[in-house]
Amino acid sequence: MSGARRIPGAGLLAGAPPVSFCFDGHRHTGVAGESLAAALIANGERVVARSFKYHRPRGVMGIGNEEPGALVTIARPTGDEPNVRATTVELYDGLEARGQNAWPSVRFDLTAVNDVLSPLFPAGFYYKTFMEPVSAWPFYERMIRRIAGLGEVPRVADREIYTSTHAHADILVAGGGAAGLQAALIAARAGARVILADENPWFGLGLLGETATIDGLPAHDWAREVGKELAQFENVTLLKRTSVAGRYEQGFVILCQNLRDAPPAAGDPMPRWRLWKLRVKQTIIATGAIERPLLFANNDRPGVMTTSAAVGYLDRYGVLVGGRIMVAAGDDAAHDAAARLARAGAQVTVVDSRDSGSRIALEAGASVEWRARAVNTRGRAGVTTVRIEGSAGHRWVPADIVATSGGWSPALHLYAQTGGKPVWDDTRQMFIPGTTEQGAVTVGACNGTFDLGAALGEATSAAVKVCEAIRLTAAARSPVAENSHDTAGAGQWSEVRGRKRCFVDIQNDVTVADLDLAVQEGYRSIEHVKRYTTLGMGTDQGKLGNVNGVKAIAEARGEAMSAVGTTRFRPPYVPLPMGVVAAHLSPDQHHPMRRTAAHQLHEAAGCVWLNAGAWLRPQFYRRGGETDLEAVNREVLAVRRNVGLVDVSTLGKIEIAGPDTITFLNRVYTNGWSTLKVGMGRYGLMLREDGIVFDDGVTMRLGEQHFVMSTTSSGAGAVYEWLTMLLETRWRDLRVTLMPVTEQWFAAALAGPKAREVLGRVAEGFEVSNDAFPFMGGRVGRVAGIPARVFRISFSGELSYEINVPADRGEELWTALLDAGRPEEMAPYGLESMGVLRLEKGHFVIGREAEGRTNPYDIGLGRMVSTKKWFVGKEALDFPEMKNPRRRQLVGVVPANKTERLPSSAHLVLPEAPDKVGGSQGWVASMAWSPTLDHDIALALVEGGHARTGERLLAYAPIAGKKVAVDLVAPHFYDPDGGRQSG
Amino acid sequence: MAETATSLGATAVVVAERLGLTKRLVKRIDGSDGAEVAGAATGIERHAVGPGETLLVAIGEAELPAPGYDADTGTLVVEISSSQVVFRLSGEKAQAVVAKAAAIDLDDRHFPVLASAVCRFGAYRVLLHRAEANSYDLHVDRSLGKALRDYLLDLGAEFGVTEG
Repeated sequence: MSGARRIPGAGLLAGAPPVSFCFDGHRHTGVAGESLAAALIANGERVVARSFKYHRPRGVMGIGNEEPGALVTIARPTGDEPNVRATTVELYDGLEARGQNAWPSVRFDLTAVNDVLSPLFPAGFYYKTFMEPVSAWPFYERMIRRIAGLGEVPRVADREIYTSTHAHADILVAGGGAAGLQAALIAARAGARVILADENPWFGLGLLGETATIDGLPAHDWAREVGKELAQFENVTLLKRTSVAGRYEQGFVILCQNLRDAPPAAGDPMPRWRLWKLRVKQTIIATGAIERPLLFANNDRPGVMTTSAAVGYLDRYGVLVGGRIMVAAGDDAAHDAAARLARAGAQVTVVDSRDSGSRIALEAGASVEWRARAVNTRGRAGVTTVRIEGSAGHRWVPADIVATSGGWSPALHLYAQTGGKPVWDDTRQMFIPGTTEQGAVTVGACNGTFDLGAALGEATSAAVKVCEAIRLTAAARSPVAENSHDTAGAGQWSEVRGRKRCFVDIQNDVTVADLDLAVQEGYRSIEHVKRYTTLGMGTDQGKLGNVNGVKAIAEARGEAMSAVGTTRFRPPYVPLPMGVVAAHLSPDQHHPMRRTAAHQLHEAAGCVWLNAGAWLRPQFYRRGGETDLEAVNREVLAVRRNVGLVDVSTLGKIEIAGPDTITFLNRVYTNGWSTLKVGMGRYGLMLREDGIVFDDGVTMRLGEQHFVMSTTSSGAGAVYEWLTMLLETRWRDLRVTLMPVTEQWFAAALAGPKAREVLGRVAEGFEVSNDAFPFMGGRVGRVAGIPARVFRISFSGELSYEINVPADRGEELWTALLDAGRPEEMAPYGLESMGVLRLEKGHFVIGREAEGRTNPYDIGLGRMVSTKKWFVGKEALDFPEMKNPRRRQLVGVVPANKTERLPSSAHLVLPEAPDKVGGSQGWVASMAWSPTLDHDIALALVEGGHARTGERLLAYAPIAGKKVAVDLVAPHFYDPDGGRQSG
Repeated sequence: MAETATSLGATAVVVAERLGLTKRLVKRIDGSDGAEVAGAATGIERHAVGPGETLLVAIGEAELPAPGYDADTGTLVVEISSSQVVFRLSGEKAQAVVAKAAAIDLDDRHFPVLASAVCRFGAYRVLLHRAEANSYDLHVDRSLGKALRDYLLDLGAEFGVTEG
């Protein structure tokens, strides 16, 4: 039974309104702003969770992020949140929390049978079990998945609001205790841009209950005054409830700020978490120290907690954690704590391993036993009695709380992330910082300085030096601390040899016996022992248990602590919600889609959208109840028989100008450009330096020294970067300039035998006859009254004009062209239809047939490879392998029986050996139903394909289990001579 | 108490599209600064956006050099009035909104009024221009205009945002 109770008027929240909350279905009352853990303790909820492996009852052990066992699930309207440390949740009215990892409840958990079976489940047992029989593994897996893990993964999308921000500062001060506050003040007064961050809701919490004074003020009052002064500086940002989660190279630091725990009011967009992405010049690390618990048998029971947590609940929240409190320690600071607990009304017993020490606890009414230790506890649902061994013998003593203190461990995580290596201080029995790298300095308790006056002086000197490093002059006045003393002492260690159930890692149920076993089995390195036993691998990251673990391993190895060392500290310092790493980026914002200027018109016309790379493009336009195939077939036939209209704005466009442009084009394309006349365009093939096809497109000559190059949609950016790189690094002598203009122009292509008639109705300033405007010509004039560039090029294989107008008049052009095409029943068509049209024509596409391994010869464009000039990729093409007749080459594929459908994703195999391993002759790169030809067609890459037309193979899709006989044909299925596009 | 959208008021950030701008990109073959092409004319913003590359933005009736290629001076002037949209963020929280997505240092010492930078803004490449103490212009590709506008409204939501 817990004797916990609230002390009226005590704590920092005295006078705060009461709130109602629920834990595991039990309704309770707490105080707004206190932690859930404090509220649970005050309401006598001792069992809060169950441990990971053995399902042993777990209570609250710590008071902050170091908490190992009190993990709960919070029910939230935005999605339940599992594995939340009850010590870090701020209580709000209506909070609903539940225990986890138990059935049916944490108070009564049937799966606690694991604890009885624990001898079968030592650390690393899964490396030796569940191996046989192999066929039973699916059963083992189902069982393990059900019982393993902590908390339940939410089944619904997280609807919480997260955000992030960038920030820059001269100095980051990590930690808002005495040393951190002093350092921040010095730097702020010197004019530095300072960010001070502390993971707690208040600064200076470590000074609560401190008896020393600072500049004549009670220590915590001094902290409050410093906080007020800092808040006045415009060059200071104060961040509470903010963890400094990780420090990376070049002064990049991430901070995770908790803005609220309570759900927001309806419609309030206030985020819950903010990730700060901070760039700083200097970091002052004042992260304090974490109290190290003592080890003894059954030291994991609810009611066992650190001494600092026990007094912390009293100081911060006015909650006395128990009625009969045993303080097990070995330094005077524990006696200070015992005295405060006794004055608050608890019956306190101190067991101290030393011969003598402070009398303050005695004077406060506590009983003190010297040369004694706590060695065991009883009480399934929480401590009821404690076994003491000492000079007076051994006995069981009633207690509901055991507050332990084995010493202090500086919080070195952030220090280690700067590249520093902790060193073992044998005198102080703690790991302290070794050397620090430039840009970071440690002060205060995290530096092993536990005397308040010394810590303030250290912080002052550090801040002055840091300011000097950034060329600021700081006043070096350190406040005067009176009656301060070293609060850490030399610590003490438990004697646990041979004792059972001494838990080192409370969350993962790792005992001293487990560590002994690991060392016995040959794991020497602390990194291996960690991973073998899972010591320190829980959500608490071993903040309370790791140093005890190092001690146990050192003893097992018979070596010094310094020889064992620590594991490597990696960010983040605390678990971060996945949402805050992604911040508020929805899928749309992570990969924003581009829209053409006529997007709204396409939407209104009922198009089906396609995510094509970075662009949203119409795939086709459905009419009535058409199926997808019916719509595409209709559009294709409209282009073949009449005229269609397609939005091709996404194609890349680059303006090129300069006297050396022809030379430039000759170098970047395989074919020649010297004879290109003004007003004409030419198709160009661009290679990589290894001779592989990179991009293609038509370049138009607008003037003597002025050209516009087109690229593929997906290649627009890459081609521009490539060309810019060539001009700025290798060809600096060329007088050429480039400008990307893809966004400036809206482009629509009229395609079909009646395209000329339609254009003729709206063209101004140029003629449209075949003689006046031949194939591959370019004209500048007006279309539908809009200034336009018109290029007669074709991807569909039909008579076609690409009309380019300024993008802000794109809608106007699209509407005008549709109007002009009404007599011909002109239809808009989409990307899918365009794909069928080009496939019928046999035009290859970058990314399909030109798939990163094909050279010009492979795709039948050897005639475009000039033998008269140098170009990028020429040397590679000269290698004999590039012309090897056995290379995979572009061919057409049709079903042998035209009524049969080709399987998708098919390989082509020999009919006599379809299943032969390694027997693939090639594969289908693109395929579609051709409404023009009334059967399936495909383009494929086949070994030696150019010499194999007429051969019969099988198109084999093994996953679908389909085989279809096919014939290899020339890749141009429709109008192979090109008469329709050039007439 | 944390500042909330309601406590700051709805005008903490205003997002407005700047319309009616004329924009030309000037590029010099020799990589020199092309800003002088605009002469000493007033009513023109000049932004260095790359080596030898200058963006000229005409406000109101100011005249810009005509598009085309001048072979004598090796200067290419390209019309890009249609190719970008410009959003202006203004209000007491405008800087805070920009800081959410841009990693550059926005402090007065490093990014004073009239400063410009081509930078990443979330997933976008923008020209960021500090037009006034609490006003920032973002120039972005036209095709991403709607997506960026939605993004700005999303970023500003916690401070209270309106569309102007």
